[in-house]
Amino acid sequence: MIEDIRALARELLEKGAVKCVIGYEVGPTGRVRPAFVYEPGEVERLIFDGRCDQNLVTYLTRRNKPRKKGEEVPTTAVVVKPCDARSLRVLLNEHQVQRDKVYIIGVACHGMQNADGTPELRCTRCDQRVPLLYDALCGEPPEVLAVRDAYEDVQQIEALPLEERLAYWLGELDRCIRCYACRQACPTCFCSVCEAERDDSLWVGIADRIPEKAFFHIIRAFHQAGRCTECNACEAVCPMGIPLSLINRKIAKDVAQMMGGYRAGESEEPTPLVTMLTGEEAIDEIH
Amino acid sequence: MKFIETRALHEWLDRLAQEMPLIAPTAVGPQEKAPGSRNPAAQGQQVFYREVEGAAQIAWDFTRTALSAREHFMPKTETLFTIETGPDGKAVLHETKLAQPRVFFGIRPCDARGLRVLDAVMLGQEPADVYYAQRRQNTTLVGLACPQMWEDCFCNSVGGAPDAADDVDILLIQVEGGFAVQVVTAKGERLAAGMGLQEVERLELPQPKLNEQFALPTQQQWLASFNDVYWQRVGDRCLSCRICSYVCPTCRCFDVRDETVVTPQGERIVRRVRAWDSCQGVNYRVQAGGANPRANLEQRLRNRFYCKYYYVPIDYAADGCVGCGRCVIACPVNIDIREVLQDLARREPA
Amino acid sequence: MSEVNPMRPYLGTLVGTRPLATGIRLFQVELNPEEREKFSLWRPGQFLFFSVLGVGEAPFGFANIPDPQRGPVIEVAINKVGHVTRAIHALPLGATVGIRGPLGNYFPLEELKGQNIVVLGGGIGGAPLRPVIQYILRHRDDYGHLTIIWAARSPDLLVFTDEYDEWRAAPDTEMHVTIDKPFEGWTGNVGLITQILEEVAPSPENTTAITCGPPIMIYFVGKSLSKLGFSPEQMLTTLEARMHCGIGKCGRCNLGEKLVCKDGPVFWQSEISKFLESFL
Repeated sequence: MIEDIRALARELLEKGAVKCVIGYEVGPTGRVRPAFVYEPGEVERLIFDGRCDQNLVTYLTRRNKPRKKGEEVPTTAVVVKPCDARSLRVLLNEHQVQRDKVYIIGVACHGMQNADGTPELRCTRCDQRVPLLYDALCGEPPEVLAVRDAYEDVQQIEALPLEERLAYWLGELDRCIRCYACRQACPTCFCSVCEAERDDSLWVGIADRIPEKAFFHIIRAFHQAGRCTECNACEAVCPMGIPLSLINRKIAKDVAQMMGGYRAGESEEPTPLVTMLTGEEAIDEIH
Repeated sequence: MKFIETRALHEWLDRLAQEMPLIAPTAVGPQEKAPGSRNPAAQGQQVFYREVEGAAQIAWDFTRTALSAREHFMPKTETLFTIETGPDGKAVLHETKLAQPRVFFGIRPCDARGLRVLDAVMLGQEPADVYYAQRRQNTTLVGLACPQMWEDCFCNSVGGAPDAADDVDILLIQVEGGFAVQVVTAKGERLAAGMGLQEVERLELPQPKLNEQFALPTQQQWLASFNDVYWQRVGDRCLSCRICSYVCPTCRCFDVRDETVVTPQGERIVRRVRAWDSCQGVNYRVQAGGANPRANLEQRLRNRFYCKYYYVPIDYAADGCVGCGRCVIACPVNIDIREVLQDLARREPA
Repeated sequence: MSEVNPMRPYLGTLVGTRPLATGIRLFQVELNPEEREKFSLWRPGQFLFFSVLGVGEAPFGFANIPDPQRGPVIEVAINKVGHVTRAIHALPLGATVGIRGPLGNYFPLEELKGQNIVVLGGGIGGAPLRPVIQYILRHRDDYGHLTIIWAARSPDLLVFTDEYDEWRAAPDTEMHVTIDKPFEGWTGNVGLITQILEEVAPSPENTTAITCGPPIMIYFVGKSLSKLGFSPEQMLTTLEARMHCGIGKCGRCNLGEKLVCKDGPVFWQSEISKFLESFL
């Protein structure tokens, strides 16, 4: 698999088909991190294994904008797991990424592992082994093992009495430091000015108090309704260890229930929960 | 050499907590989360410096706290003043006053050193920041030496040491049966008077295990690297979040806003607050009208490293980084300041 | 340590306001009597934070010099672009406002005595230069020839138009006004400020040029001045940046190791050209 990815990356860079390949590498202290490879001679840096749990699709919206006015948007290749592909599907549906500017290196996924070698919880719930969309597929897809109830953790919280549920969330959100890492790591949070950061504090002030923090996370969750692909990036980066994906998964669960099993990023239909611009207002110049 | 038995120390802390606010490292959050998680913050309880009621709440075996000591001197949010309407209908400002003395127990030497940097910025040049000054004056620092340098610590490469007493009022070093006590300042002496310290002839002090030291870039190397493509390459993987700034003991950027809140009791409060901000934020430099002189991510990332190692030393005559390692651990994409420093230090002089 | 809280504004009253240009008004503030003695008089080039209590504060350059007769009536020219400035524009006369300052360094006008001065203002950038003109006109004999070049994108964006006659009439003073592009009904100069500057071509001999405007204008005016023979030690400018304290604490306004609030806002071109980080 690693060799497939490296060979493909080398070929794409040598041909000039892409300017950069986004994959994974091991840093000098042994931590796995996103890698940006520009030269064919550097593809040996790329790796892929159960530690590569970051969602690299996050980097595509940023690269879809020219750095300077008039500059052409470069084509980027990106290593995409099945879960990441769903995020990419959402971005394509919402015209945030141009399909012809992305080369999708799909990987057949054996699931990601925790630091202690146990499978990541989200991977035990996942039945996708091959990305929904790719330009090339690396690796052999393994067979699908039994999939756990997708929303067990959400149901546990839902079952708590209101006071306990409130106490749980107030306790968790109290630790939030408003670093916005959840938002920055989220592939589908891409507003240029976040509602929580407006100069005029229209919706949320700057204070680090529970009402403001809770409101920020609730705004984010609602903006993610029908768009969150449950990739867990928000929770994985939280420096305070807040179980943020529980909030987003609660909404994903409700969306699935109300919208006939709708799961974000599985079809070319954008979420039924946000306004679609049609007719004259349609933004289709970047299809 | 002065010494205090563990039990006597606990009793003193319990008494102290009755008399005044006592801040100390304490474990926070649900006990069991995801012990195997790749996110260190999600593995279990994190330790924070928080107000405690006594010794029993103190976390004695901790590496470093999740947030630095800074939050107790420059709170994440503080009210500068409230704006009220006087009897004549004119506005009256009520400034926040912070008079209460307190003890900050268990501060790590690197965090105390971080306060030296904040002192240089907030107090070193007139006009001083009165809010920071009051908190600083009212606080006695009792340091707790690290028995070793932890994974990702690099205090010894930036002029610190795991058992440095330079920036605390009293330093405790754990030894057999209790703690060796170094009383450093007059403020420390006043507090130590109530501790019931024993005088012992000889005390074998442990030698903390150190991490490998590395050389820092020279000023010339910093100067020559400013416009290097290197920052674009590191910036490639930066998420532009604020974790590194917010866990940092020496970052001090803030935002100021007015806000109106209505309490659950229906009371309307108008106040000016300031809150932490970060040069990593997308909108940090955006001026009214929309101009953004630091619109590119690598410019923002570069600013953080230069601020610590180039700007703060020049502007405030202080070292901007204490090597606590928090940003190293907490960065979700492994932007490692040690790696950056070593990359730059390896460069040929221009 | 001083007992003065630099984050606390002095309270004053909005005593006057008049339109200057499209979206731009002049605001006059008189400090409340009990605040006056604590407030030190400002010098041309310094700035202040203007508070609308309950909305917020934002930095502006002083647009006048202290008047010996009227006392500390503070004037600022404010463009309606952000949420604080919108609130300022909506203030009724008599409203209580907050003023923090004076902050930052100032134009070294004492040192420039005996010299010819060229003042170059673009758009609302003319506002912090008005105190320079007022100061020179008040101490007219201390300075040589005064050249004022005033520019804006269009005629409706020119500031202090009602004062041009007075400035023109001052002894040993010339004034040139230009707009970027032709405009219906405009019979004056058309062209960028650099064009007019090169046409007027003030001699660099014993002269200092003082510029304020958008960063890109400051950059190109600098180039034109060099062409005319001005050295970077003969060019002064004032920069702006987002700020939240004005006293070197909040960290926000740095250009490399220079802080616009504390080391500036007034800089010599020779300093700016050595900045690690571009001001553009």
